Amino acid sequence: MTFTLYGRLQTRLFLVGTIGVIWTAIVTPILPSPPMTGYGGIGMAQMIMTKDSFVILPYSRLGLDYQITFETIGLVAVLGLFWELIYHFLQQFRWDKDWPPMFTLLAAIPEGLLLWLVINLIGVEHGSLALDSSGFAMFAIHFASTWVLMWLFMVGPLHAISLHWRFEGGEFYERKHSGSTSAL
Amino acid sequence: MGLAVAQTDCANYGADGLRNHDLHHKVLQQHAKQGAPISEEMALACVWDDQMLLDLGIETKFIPFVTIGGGLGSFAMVDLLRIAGVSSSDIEVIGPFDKSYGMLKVLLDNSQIPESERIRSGSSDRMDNLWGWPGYSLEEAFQDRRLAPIWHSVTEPILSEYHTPRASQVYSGIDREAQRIGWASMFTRGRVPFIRKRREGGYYIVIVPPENTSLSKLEIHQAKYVHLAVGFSGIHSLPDVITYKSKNHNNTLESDGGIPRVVNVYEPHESIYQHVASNPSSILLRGAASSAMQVIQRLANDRKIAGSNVKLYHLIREHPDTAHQPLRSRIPTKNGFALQAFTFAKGSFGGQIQRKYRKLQDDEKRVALLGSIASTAIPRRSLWEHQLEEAKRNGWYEVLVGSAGGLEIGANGKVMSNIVKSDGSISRIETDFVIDATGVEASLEDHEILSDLVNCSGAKLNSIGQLDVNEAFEVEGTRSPGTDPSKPGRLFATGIATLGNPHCIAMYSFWGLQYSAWKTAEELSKDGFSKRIGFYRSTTSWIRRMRNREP
Repeated sequence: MTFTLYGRLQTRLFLVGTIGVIWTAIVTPILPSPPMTGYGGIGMAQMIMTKDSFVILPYSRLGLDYQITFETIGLVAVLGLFWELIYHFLQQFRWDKDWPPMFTLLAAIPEGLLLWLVINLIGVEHGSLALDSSGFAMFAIHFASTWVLMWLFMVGPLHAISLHWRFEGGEFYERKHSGSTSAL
Repeated sequence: MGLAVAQTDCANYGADGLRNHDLHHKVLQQHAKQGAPISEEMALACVWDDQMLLDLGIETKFIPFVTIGGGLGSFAMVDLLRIAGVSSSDIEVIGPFDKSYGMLKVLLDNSQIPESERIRSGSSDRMDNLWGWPGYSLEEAFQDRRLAPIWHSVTEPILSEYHTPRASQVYSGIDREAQRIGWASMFTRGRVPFIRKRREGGYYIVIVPPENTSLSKLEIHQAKYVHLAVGFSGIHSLPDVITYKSKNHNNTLESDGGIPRVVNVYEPHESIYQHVASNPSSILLRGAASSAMQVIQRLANDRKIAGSNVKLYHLIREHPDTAHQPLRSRIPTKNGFALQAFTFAKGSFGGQIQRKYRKLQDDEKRVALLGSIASTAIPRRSLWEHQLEEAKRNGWYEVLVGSAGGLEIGANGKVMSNIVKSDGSISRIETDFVIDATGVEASLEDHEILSDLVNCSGAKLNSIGQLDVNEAFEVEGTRSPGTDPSKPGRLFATGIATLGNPHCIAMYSFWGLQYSAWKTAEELSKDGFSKRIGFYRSTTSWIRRMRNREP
């Protein structure tokens, strides 16, 4: 792909805002849920049976799952804006000043690792950092499937919906530049 | 390196301008004398009006949009306008070849890229698909029931080489799209020696049959919008090749049916390969771009298959030396060749190089950037690497570093090449043949219609001697407002003639032709001629394209 910096940022936000949101809405109910202990907040109270006893919890099971998955993709967008700056910097070392699609696909590895760390640190996820943590399965399946779908959409159908995106380095919207204008 | 030479030509243009103007008038006078229905006085008038034509009894036909050239530049424009909702009856295409890829095919065939070979173009740069998806790789994977092309396009250029389409796939795709958009119904076979502004607004287009050199059988059409996509003006040769050819026109290899001794790689020269296949011969090859590599590939194949005995000297200007350049702007090299996948660095196709170019206000800086990314390089292909290594190992291939210093007739009719080394010394080498692969010509003054445009219609030249166009690829100074200045006739251009334009750096590429067509179509949509292609129209048009429905 031949991105400009603004093209990268816009593409990231667009993909998360469309494919990321739609896919998360679809897939969350079938993801393996983490245990509900430790989550709090204001919401619809619900009685849930855990291993030992009945507890009253402020969220529905599904509500909590959606909270986790949507906060996760929100972070894919927010942290992504910083990642894109790094990718743009690395792009400067390529003679062709391009970004092969494979790089975008493989970026899931560092981004996924950092994301797992962040969602644990800021409390989106209440398990431990260990990869056998109870919440990891949901995170891994959700993140990986969303990433692959966003990537597939980017190398494929995104071309069909916007010529501007194709012709202007991944930008849907272009800031007016101060280039020479017609004197006609 | 075509570009550098083009610059030199253009630098001379200013001095030649006057001469060119006189020449131009002489040509028009000649036409008038050859019994053309238009008088000398009229041919020399830069603005015509309806009464002039009425007096001559010439009927004109009005078509809102006429594109002149009929090659891929015209194809990109017409395809886009059709997708932007313009009816085929509102568009006319005028050109010498029935098929838009006619000229491309001639050049590719001559330069050893027959239909079965792959061209140096990306998978998603499709003349027949404005969106570039699905790319050639997906289509090939589907047709051949193979996964390899998909693997290539996912892992290119890191784990595999770029997927590039076979010439046959490019041609057949264009045929299919031409059918879909009604190309044949819009096409007029002809040559346009010049156009004239119409006093009432718009333009007159003078059309003659392509094989006619005089205007005696002309037709005149009238248009509101004109699009010029006339391509390269011809095959470029370095001055010493031209001098040699004009002096030694008859120096062919008579013993074998008159094979030319000195050819340009884009001229027909199959006879040389056939001669070499059965006779021990020596060849001097000039140029370090992929057209030169294509010659090496052909000779290596012939050597392997037919066991030909050839000695190939490859003259290059210099070995790419990148050690002194900062890491960030160092072109990769191998086997003494600079490596770059496409004619332009990839980031020129809409990416950050194009953006950088667009910000440059200074023409000279633009030209410098253009020169640095349109570098003389070959794509990385493992076949070529193997062939170069094999050729060097077996001693039939030798690289000479220096610049061409003139050609003479040597012993037994062979060609003597003078080679100027970097220290100024001259060495001489005698070979049976010389193949020049240094580029194609981009000189504006060789195009009758373009030089007329400058002389007569107010077109200006930019600093590299090509047409001065604005961001919508409208030629500056050529509007023809007539009686309604709010809706003037407008003239657009694309391709090599707009090199140095303010907006697009990768101009002579499939992508560049589509890009400029897109910018022009956006401008025309502001005039109300076509519709804007936003999300909705783009998506629905793409679906129609995939279902092979008329746009």
